[in-house]
Amino acid sequence: MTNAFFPAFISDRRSWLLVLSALLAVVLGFVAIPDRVAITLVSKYGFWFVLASFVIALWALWQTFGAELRTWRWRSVDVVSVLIIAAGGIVLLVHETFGFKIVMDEIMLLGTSMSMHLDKSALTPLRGNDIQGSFVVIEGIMDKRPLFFPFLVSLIHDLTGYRPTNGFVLNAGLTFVFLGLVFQAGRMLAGRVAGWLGVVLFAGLPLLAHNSTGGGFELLNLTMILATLLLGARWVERRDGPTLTAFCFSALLMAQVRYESVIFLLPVAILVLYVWWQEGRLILTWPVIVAPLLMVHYPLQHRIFEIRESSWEMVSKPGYTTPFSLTYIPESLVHALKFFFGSASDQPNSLVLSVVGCLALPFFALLVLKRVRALPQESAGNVAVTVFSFGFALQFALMMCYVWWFDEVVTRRLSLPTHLVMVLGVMAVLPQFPKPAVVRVLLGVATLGLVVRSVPSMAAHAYSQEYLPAREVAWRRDFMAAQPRSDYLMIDNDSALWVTHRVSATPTVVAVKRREDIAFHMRNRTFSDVFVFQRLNINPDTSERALREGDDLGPAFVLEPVAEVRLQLLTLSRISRVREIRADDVAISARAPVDEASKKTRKEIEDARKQFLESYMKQLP
Amino acid sequence: MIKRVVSLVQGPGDARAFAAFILCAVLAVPTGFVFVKPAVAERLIVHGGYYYILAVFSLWMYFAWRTVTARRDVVTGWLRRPGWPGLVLVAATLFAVWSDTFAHKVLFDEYVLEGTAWHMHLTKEVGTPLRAYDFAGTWLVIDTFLDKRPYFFPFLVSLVHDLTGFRIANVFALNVAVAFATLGATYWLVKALTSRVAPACLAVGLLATLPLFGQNATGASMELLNLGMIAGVMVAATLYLRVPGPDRLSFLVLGTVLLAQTRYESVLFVFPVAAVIVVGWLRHGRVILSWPAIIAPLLLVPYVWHDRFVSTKPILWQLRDGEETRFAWKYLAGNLEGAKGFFFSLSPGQPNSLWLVIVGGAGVLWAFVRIAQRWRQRATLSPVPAGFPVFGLFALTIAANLALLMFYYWSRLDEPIATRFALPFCFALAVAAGWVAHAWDLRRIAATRLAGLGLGVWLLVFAAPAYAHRFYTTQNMVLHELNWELEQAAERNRRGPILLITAKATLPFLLEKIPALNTTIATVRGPQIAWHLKEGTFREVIVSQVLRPTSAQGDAIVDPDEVLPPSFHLETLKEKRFGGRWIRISRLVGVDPVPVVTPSGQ
Repeated sequence: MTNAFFPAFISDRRSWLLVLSALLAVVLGFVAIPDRVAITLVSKYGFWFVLASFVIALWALWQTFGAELRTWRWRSVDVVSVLIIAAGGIVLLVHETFGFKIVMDEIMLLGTSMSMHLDKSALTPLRGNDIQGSFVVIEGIMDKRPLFFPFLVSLIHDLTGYRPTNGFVLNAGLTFVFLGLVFQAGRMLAGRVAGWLGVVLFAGLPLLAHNSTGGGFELLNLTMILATLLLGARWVERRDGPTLTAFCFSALLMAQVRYESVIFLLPVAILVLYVWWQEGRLILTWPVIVAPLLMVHYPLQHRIFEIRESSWEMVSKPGYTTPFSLTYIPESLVHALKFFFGSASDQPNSLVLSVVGCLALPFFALLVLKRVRALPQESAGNVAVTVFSFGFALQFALMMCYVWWFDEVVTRRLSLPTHLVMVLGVMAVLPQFPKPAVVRVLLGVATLGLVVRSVPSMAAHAYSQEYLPAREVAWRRDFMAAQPRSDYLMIDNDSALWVTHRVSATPTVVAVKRREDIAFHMRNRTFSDVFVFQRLNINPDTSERALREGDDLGPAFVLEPVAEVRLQLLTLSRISRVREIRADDVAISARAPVDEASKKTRKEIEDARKQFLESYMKQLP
Repeated sequence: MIKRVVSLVQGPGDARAFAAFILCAVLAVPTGFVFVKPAVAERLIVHGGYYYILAVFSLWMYFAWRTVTARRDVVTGWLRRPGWPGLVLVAATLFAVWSDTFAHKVLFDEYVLEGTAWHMHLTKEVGTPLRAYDFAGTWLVIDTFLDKRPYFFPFLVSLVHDLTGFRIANVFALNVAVAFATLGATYWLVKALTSRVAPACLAVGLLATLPLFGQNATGASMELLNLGMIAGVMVAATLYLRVPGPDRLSFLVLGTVLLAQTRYESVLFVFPVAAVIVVGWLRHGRVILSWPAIIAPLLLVPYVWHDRFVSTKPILWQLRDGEETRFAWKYLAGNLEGAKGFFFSLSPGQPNSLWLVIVGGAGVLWAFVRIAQRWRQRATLSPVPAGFPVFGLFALTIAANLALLMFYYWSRLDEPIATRFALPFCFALAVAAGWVAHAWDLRRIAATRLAGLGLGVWLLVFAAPAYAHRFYTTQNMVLHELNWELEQAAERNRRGPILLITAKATLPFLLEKIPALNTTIATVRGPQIAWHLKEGTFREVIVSQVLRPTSAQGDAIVDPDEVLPPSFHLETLKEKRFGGRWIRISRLVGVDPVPVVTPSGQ
């Protein structure tokens, strides 16, 4: 080790530029820009920030891997490993149905990808209509979710055309990429068989299958964390500019997948400094100098949590007032254990992974402490895993302070990074066992667990059946698919679901207020039909049905049920046709008779068309 | 000049050929303009047009083959190892095809062309069906008209039908193939100008990413063939000018005749081709005239006949309300405004490429600078390579054509139906862009790289939203209306034979084998329709009408042009809104008998 780093840092002008860039980013991100302006800026320019980071990351990856790729030959492929990864990915993808698993998270992400595709803006559409033959988003809001996942989905839209299912395509592809990275990490830490073990452990995790077949950002989050870790190892090994750029920009994109993944920027910074310190010189590239400025939109977007208190969704958790607290830790730990060791029908866990992981973690912690003291003697992979383990620990600690628990339907997915560190822990500990039989036995146990417990669990996926919103979304998507054309209006408080499927929609609460406008459009046959989605809760004692709060359109809307389904014992989901709208007992939505002839001139008719279109636009629901 | 040309006539063979050419030219004028009356011309085109175009096309292919086989080593070498340029051309074609959906986009035009091709396929006559019915299982056309559009494109579509069976989608396959050929010709031309691959790929990229190009590559119109023929004739002209000879001359001349039969105004390209031929003679030092070149003026006579026939039928001009002539000064201001709106727009609503206009415009300006420089040094300079005079002459013609269109009644380039007229100009800009990038590369400006980078930025920032929305295609409301009407009619026709009465063109329905009748005809054929309805010829008679709002609140009426007489009793089946109007589908319940006119007591 050398102390030449500080003089080198101070004397190098680029280091001051980096500091300046970081300071400027802090000022812009946290101080200089007011909240409302910040949201507008992110909605308009967020896409371009992510695009710039993505392009630089791709370029840097090519710079660092280009030479190896050029000398790559097919015969160098490890066929057995590829087959294991492919088989693992297929197991994860074939048992669950592709669909939106977390509502409204995944719909909001899809909505953001839609506006990124259409307008290169980062808004989630709330209102959209067919105007002059094109489906146009009329109104949207800035979502709280980071932008990298919708950005990637929007790229697929750009390349293949807009399809609401493109998010599933991305996640299906990422499943194989992630398993490939797991294999790579295992091979780096403990050899090829350890890589296979990691793949099999993850292939047997129903929670991963649930997310692989969904439209959420969890799989991308895991992939980016692991990819960044592996690039960190490469940085420690190669210590050159292109690798640093690839590592930093991978981290930058990783931080824009899930909110709390920004935590992993800490181990990234430590690894960068560690290498500089070891080298006694500054290895710095221009993209890395400007990198902090390319993150400015992240804190700006985070202002949503200050502007919209509802973003924390505390309403869904009665009795709790703050999203994070140290007092939650004991309760959260209990629920975490309930998740990791719960029954297959209740939780999408993997007992083998939970047992092996929990056994490995204490040893892994000891190993990390041992390695921290003698880091320069460790391999690059061990250094990266050691430093990143602090990131994983922080992430787990944060989750334990969070108001939501691991065993709740919507937040089980937050345990995925913990599963990743468990597998990494197992792989890191394995070399301590000199006999190769250990890893082989573990591989056998993991395979057995996959076949006898995980596959039946994934096939039944009973753990997801209690989550009514996802099943209601699937039912509504079936309804959309059954319609010959998407030229109807849907009244639904989840209007974003319909708008992202290019169906005109408006929230129920808005429809109640804009009754007259909807009547205008019914009179003028703007839509082939007007439907409303409602949920009825059933009283277990009296069997009485009552509309869910916010779903009632009021007596002015005369409804005719067209589809009904009882997805849970005490709820009834219903889609009705709005037959007419009444005001003072008079129908105001009936089509006026069409005159066969008119005395108006062509010009008068053309003028009337313009007036009608103007009126039509103003009264769009 | 004439003296100099005459001095190139060497020997009795040349003199005979030249005299024969002059004779044909002299004979062509009265034959085209005087001897044959429009009505006779119509019959000649209807019955002989197919064989005329077949003969010209066959000859063109023959001389193309002879031209290619003369350099077999070069051509087969490239075909065997196309390398990166081959990949670029395939990728560019795929991009253009990906950028829009296959559909009929210029509705009346494209269906008329489809209908003509269908009729050519069935009867080898030039005609567009108006009415067709199922007679004992045979779908028979009983009424046709000679359309104003040149018939080389329908002829090619009919050839595809002949070879693969009739399919409406055959026209899309043809246009995709023509798109590839056009991009290939663009690449070849820029390569001929610059001797470099990168600027040629840049020109291909600029053209393929132009949304207008993709829109037409996936459409059913003749625009892309017109562009492909312009590019093809330019290639032939360059080949001829490099090594003037009879085969290359025949290939050039016959291509020009076919080009004239592709779009109305493409006959203008006869002039640059004539100039190229003369330049070839001057460079070669003697007159070269092959027999197809000698009879070329006569081969243009059918074009003249067709044009004279169209001039006598104002109904074919498709003039709008208040318009009396096709060309006039009064259209200039609006058309110029439209051209500005198209070429310089950044809105996703226009299928343009501002980057192509910028780089291509720079190319045009730089070309003027270089011409001025060369003019001053003309005494000491050697002749320019063959590609330059060809590109210069054709670019001038394209510009003149665009200028002429500025006086045309329907040439606002920012209007969805008229944007296609800009394609040849955009093509010229793409070639100019490739050339200028190379010229500036030579001056150490790295222009090709910068232009490529700019193209990437333009694609990401401006073109991506345009491709995502495709307003320029999706906002064609008549396209949506027609698709819906076709869907409704086809669904009802599946249950049993129907007759459709529509104010739109009947061709889209006839091509789907659904009997259709125009509203104006139906209004006077009430008793006949009622008779067939009663006798069960048709299970039902369906009427499609446009409803229009008459106030801000709607208050719809039937479009005055589509009102049926009160004796027609309709029952509304469906109504659907399209933009600011509706389409109503009704069933004809009955037609009152025509009252018997009794003579008065006097």
